[in-house]
Amino acid sequence: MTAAPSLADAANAPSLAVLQTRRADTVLRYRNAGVTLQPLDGGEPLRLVRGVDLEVQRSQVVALVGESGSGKTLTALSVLGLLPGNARFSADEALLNGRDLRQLGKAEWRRLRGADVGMVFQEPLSSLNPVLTIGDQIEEVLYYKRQLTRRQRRAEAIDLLARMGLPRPAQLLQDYPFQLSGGMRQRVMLAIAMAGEPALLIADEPTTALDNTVQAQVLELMVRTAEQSDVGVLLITHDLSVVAQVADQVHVMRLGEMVESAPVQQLFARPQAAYTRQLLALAPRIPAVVRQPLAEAGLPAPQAAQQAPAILQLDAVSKYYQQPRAWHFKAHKHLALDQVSFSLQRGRTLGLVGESGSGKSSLARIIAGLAQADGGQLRFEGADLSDPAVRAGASIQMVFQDPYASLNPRMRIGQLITEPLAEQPGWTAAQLRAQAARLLEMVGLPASALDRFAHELSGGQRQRVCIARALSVKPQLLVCDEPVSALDVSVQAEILALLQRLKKDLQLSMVFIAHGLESVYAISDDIVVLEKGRVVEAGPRDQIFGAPRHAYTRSLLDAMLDIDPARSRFKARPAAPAGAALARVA
Amino acid sequence: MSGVVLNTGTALQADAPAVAAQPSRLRHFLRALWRSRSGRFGALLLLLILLATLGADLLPLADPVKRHLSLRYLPPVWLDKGQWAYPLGTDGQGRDMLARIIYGARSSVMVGLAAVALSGAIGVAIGVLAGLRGGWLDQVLMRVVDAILAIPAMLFMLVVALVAGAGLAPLIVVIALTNWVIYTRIARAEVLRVKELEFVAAARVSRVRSSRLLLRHILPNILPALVVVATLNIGTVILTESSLSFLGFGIQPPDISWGQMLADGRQQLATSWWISTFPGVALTATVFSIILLGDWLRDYLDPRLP
Repeated sequence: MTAAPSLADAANAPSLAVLQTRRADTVLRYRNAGVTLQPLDGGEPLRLVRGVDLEVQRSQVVALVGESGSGKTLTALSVLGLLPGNARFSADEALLNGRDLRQLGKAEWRRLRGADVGMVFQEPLSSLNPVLTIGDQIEEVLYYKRQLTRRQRRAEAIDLLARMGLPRPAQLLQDYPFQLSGGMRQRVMLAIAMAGEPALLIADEPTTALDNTVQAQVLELMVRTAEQSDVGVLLITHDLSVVAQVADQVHVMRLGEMVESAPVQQLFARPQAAYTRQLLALAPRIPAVVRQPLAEAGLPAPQAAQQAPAILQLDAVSKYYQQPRAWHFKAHKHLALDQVSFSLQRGRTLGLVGESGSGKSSLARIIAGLAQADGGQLRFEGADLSDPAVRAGASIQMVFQDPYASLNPRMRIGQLITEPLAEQPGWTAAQLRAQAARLLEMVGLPASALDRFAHELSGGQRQRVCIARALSVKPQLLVCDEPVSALDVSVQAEILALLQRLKKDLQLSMVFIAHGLESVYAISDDIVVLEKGRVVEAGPRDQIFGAPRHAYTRSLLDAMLDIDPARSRFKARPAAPAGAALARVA
Repeated sequence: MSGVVLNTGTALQADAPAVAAQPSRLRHFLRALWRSRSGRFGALLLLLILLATLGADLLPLADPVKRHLSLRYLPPVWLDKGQWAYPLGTDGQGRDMLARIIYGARSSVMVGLAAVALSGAIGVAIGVLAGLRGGWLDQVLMRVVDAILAIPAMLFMLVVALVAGAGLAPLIVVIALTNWVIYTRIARAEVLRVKELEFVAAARVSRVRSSRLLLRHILPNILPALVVVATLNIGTVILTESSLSFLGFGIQPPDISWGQMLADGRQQLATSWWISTFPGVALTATVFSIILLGDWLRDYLDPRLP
């Protein structure tokens, strides 16, 4: 798609109307850009990105959407001149703020970064230097990019932090990154990126590592900053709801190529490419019916009198973490779980919901036996799990978040899957291998994966291996701690479907933890909402999502981003054109 | 799930690992070694050194301890007054340098390999124990390590050597007793890192036996760091041997070690440089070949690298 029609389409967007009264100049223009990687071992050059056309105006948010391996991050890095050494950039046209990116020397790149283009990364903790104060890191940019005096730098840094909505900016200058929360760190990152007064801001998955409630705040800040400072934003994300909320123009990338480019409303209403349609269909969403307030009146009473026996029962479970303080013998006690009680019926899935730090993972570890509760009681099929004999006999298995870290890199898949079985007497090597093949088939992997190592598989395949390993001992209860949050959208959908199927086929009971409420909705029967280690609300899924009673639950639900551009909470947009509603039903 | 029937076989070899039968591990190992340029070079160099060392008696060498007082300070053959009978020259007592280097390799390489193996075994065992058990045991063990690190190593070794006496075996023990602490620190740090990884948690959820947890999950994943340290450590240990031998402990004449030779030539460095230079070159070549080989070995053991 060329630039002309996209401009015409976007003409009715208010952001463009504002833009036309200001400088309507283009900040970034790529025509037929590509990135080629020369493998270090001297193989065929790989064309990782090709034929990319891109245009970002001032005050405009342009989203680059795609799954891992689509080349969206490489494209962004090429704007910064940060491609790996064996990668080569080519383009018919590559202009950043009027400068030709194809012929810059090292020193010119250095001047360009920070001054013309700022960057916000995904992981706010690792992109801030842990041994420098916030003030040092902002003032560094102000010194090198704008040559301000010491006093000016300080005033400007305070002003920047205040503009990012951070409280007590003056004191904050003396703080270190570890003292801030994730959302605050990302605000600081944004302040650093804006310190050089760039014309273009590149944000690579800026809110993926954040809780939903914080994500909404950071996104709003980003959109507002872009509008106020007249900065163009290139937003890289895999999350379509973020795109729907903040983007003006969307480019969808797949396997290094741009498959579709359109203004946001047009893209969501009338997706042209099959891949875009597929992405939109797979994006997890909660049906609008459920979230109607009228459900409060008409919802059937929660089925309290369920007949199914409880497979897992928690009674006032508490957990402390102690941090011994230097030179004090009194330890600082942090309450991670406070009197948590709930029960899970056989054959049902319980979704645990809460922000980070709410104790979800501590609870999962306690249920799986990786940690001990400091108070209260856990009962598995009526028997007390604190009894080692009961614990040894309890068939509880766990699936972890990071499919990269949860498989031993030095073992073959076949060994990995049957390791829990090999602990039981009576298995021969041949039987184990046959069983491993059966388990692989169960999770939809070919038997040829048996002799592979984990690094040879994709993220989704690895998570399937993890599930197969958990299932090898025929567990009755499966604890899933964020099993899909590290995966691509389409892979998430596959894994959720797999879990659903296995649950039905094997009559599994499940505890499912996720911070993405959409995936919790998709798989859970019951919901328990945790806030700071305390259960604030529990009940059947539709009741929690449809008629939340507790303020915290409501705030969690409100923080969910609507995957409908017309209902953006950050950007005023005209009513959706005809056809948009149709597409949403999918 | 009807298709999956859990098999409760009756065979007794419950522990037989489900390893895919590899065609030939040794052949695979050698082929991979030959394909790597640095690995091949290191292996060939080390092989050459080891062959010369073991086959020294078969080589047409001069008697390494026989003195020729008329032929003292003879330079190497390519210099003025050099003789083909003594290709690398002679030392202050007229002994053949080449023969002494080759015979000296026996004790030096022996001490290097044995002391590293011994201290590595002790150190890794203690480090893994401290890292896995934690608590008071970890505290006590690591304070012992700190204490040993705080004592000047040479002083400590001299005191132990005084008790243990001179000779090859006491020398190895003396070096190992001070040297194990570096392995302990690294093994403990690596265990602390690896034991928090999710695959260890997954194994614990499956109630995998602790012996298996250790051998399958923890040791293979802490190995790379240890291999690197061990290969570098061999050189240090050979030098320690030379210091101790120089001070009168360890290997004493008429037995030969590179350390002794380095020490002997120290006074004549300005006039007869070859006396300490050639043992130094031999030492460097040995350590270099071991480092290359260790580097390659670390990569070979990592399935993530092609």
